[in-house]
Amino acid sequence: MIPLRYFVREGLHIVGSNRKISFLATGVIALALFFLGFFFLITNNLQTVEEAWRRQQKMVVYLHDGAEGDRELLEKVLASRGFVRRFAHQSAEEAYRRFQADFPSLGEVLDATRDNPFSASYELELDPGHEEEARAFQAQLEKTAGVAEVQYDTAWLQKLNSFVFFLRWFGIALGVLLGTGAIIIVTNVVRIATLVHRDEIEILWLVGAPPQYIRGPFLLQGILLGLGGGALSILLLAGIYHFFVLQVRSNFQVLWNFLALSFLPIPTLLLLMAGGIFCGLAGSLLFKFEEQAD
Amino acid sequence: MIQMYHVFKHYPPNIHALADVTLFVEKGEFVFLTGHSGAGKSTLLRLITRAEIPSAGQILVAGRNVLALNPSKIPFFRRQIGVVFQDIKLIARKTIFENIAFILSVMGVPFQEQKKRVYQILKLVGLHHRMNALPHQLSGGEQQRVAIARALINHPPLLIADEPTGNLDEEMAWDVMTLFDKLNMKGTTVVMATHNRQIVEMMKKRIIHIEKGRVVEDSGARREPA
Ligand SMILES: Nc1ncnc2c1ncn2[C@@H]1O[C@H](COP(=O)(O)OP(=O)(O)OP(=O)(O)O)[C@@H](O)[C@H]1O
Ligand SMILES: [Mg+2]
Repeated sequence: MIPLRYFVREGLHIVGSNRKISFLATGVIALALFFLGFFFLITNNLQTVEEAWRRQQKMVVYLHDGAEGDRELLEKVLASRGFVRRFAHQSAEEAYRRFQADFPSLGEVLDATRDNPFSASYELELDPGHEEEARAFQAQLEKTAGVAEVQYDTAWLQKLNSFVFFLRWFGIALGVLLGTGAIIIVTNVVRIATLVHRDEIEILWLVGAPPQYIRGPFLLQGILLGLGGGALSILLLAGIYHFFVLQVRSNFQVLWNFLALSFLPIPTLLLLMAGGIFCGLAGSLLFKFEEQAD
Repeated sequence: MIQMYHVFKHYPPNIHALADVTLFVEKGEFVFLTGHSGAGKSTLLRLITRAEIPSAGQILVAGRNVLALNPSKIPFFRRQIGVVFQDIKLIARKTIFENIAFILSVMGVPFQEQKKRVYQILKLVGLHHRMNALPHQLSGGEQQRVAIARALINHPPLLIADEPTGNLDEEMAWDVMTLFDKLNMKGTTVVMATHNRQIVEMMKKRIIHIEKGRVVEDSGARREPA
């Protein structure tokens, strides 16, 4: 029989009887989990961005000034490829107006120059998953009459992808490193708690309390510290996330529309809590209990 | 019930608390352990409950070799012995009820039953009205009676009492002795260390006298257990 009520009550007492030290341990666990969660938060959102961009891959074909005569042939070429979902022509004037709408303050700067720096272009929407063919198509288009330049860039998506990968593993490594530190600290916090309660522990041994009655409360202490650390890390992450969201939304409206930020999903949060419990429990288990009476 | 063969206990650096103690206590006996302060009475009692391990010699309690006990069996072994410690040893932050009921809850006794039994045992020592007090709210003598109640809660076949009347007035001390005598008559083996000459003389029980760690006198000694 596991006397859970007894463990919880005694565990709470132990945690409460040395608040400074309990807070220290909770803080260290929270820090480890915070970094882990922080990197997950960043990489999750970067991944969302990456996926969104992969889904709406674009190729932009810029035309020479006065290449109106080449458009008919060019559109035939564009229509010939299955992975080109659709294409749309944009005149130099339209490009100019669009820029002014998007960046009103910069529009004035352009106005002063009076010369329209934009070119007419075709915007191609591509089906995802045809990157190789699209690159070949880009080379072909660049040689086609009337075409000044073709913008089609997937290298940076690849770079973003490896960056996300790197960040994620960096976060995990940092979390594991700090987590190990947290475990060591919990072990010592439990050691201190057993010293503080050594008289009680001795009495319990002497009256014949089974080891689990003596050990249990200190395991509970570890679990409680871990739960506290997990909760604290999530609070910190949520706080920072909401602060960031608020800043972006009020100061960078365009960026906000484009980013579609999201907080960590519930399974990840549960994972952080589990990580906290793991640190606390492992730390407590690592402390070697010996009968003090011998 | 208790068999000790050539038991020694040294403490560093060179304190010889017990030297070559051999003694046998039968089931159902009542034994007083006497001797000057520092003679080794408490040490001997601590060896019986395996609170400490002898430096040499063998100890059998209730047929079990105390030294060879599997560590996982020690708690059960200790619960078969009721111990009144010389320094009382109550858990300071727990109520009188909790201090005593703990042993019952370890054994899986339901809470309602715990309440009944703790009340009864406290009534026996006249402290049933102080169940919810903390140890420091009781007088020294009251605390000692709580310690006695805790030792008895489990109906142990063996009662080890180290100076259980030390803090009690004469009347109260006799109450406790009457209680011990009754328990003894019902079959409990009692080993009690005491300085109280009057009690020892009036009770007319077996006396083991220790001096400087050696048994110098034993009014009921036997060579081997029956
Ligand atoms: N843990 C210990 N470390 C060192 N010496 C000890 C320890 N426990 C007891 N002693 C010594 O062993 C000797 C016997 O002590 P013990 O407590 O058994 O005496 P006692 O007969 O119970 O005395 P009292 O009547 O005062 O309780 C004493 O000299 C004491 O100082
Ligand atoms: Mg003593």
